[in-house]
Amino acid sequence: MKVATQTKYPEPAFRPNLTIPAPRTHEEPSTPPNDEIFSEEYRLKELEREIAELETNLRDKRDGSSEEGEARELLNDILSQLDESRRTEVSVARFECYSNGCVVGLRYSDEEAFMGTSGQFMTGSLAMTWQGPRAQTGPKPSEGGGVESNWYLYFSPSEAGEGHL
Amino acid sequence: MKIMTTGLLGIALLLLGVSAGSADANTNRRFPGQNCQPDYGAYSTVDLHSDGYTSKSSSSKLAWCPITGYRTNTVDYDAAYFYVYDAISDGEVSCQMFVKTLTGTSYAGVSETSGLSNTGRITMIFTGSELPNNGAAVYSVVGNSFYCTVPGDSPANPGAYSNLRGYVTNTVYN
Repeated sequence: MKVATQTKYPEPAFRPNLTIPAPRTHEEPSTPPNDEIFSEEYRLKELEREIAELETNLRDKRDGSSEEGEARELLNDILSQLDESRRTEVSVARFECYSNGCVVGLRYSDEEAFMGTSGQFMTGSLAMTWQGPRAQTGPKPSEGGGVESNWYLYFSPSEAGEGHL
Repeated sequence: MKIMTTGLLGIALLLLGVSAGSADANTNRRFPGQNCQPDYGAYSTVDLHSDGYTSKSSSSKLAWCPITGYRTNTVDYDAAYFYVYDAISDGEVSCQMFVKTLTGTSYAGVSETSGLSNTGRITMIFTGSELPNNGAAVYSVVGNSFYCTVPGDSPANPGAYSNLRGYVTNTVYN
């Protein structure tokens, strides 16, 4: 966990000397009509795009790092804290680490099981101990029934180098 | 003639205005600490009338601090700043940003802390890579907040409380 710069901001408060980065020029994505946005088809299409971006950010495959051990330990701790009834509804289908982070693929018996456990990963006390950025994808229908969701545990930017992603 | 000159001047100013408006300048959005909402069960211990969000409790409490007012459903952060008052020498304030999208995907950034010292006013600075999706654009956003832990009081600093004073986001989109 990174400790904030211990410099007091100048008085008066709320007037920080913000360093504004150079403006970026890119097109703002167009918003589809409401009836399309709220369709399941649109959600799954957007979900695929999000997953592809998260996978790209992982970069090259890497095994045996210390962060990999921490990621596996966190996964085991979170799963062991689930209620016994919930534990049978979740299974690990994938665990892989890359140069920028690890991905955990989870299968849930149904969407309710996903909803009942997703908070453990994002805002649960154990999850908050992970020092790098995290992401949890939305539920996606699984081929064998139920739903699947991926956890992405990125290594801390300060450890892997600023702006590496 | 006068009408024509005024008209031309008006068009020139309009073009100037349009040109300035279309420049891709980042937007700073500022929020008071009073915006922060206590997590479940913490309502009776929160004081929003003082200098921000103060948790007057004997144990640490969680708070959601919403980020609102965007005109698009895309967020693309370059930086964020969280202002806290750290009055507790053996407890620290920590915050991280969350973004949730329409698909159900959640992104969490890096956790910043005020440190284990009662230093007073502290600015926690989040760079782009410490923010959700590593500061890259997130589309179809339906929720965006900071999530903070505020320590309770401590025998080490009797009568003192840390608080969340406000936060600023710096984003590419409006």
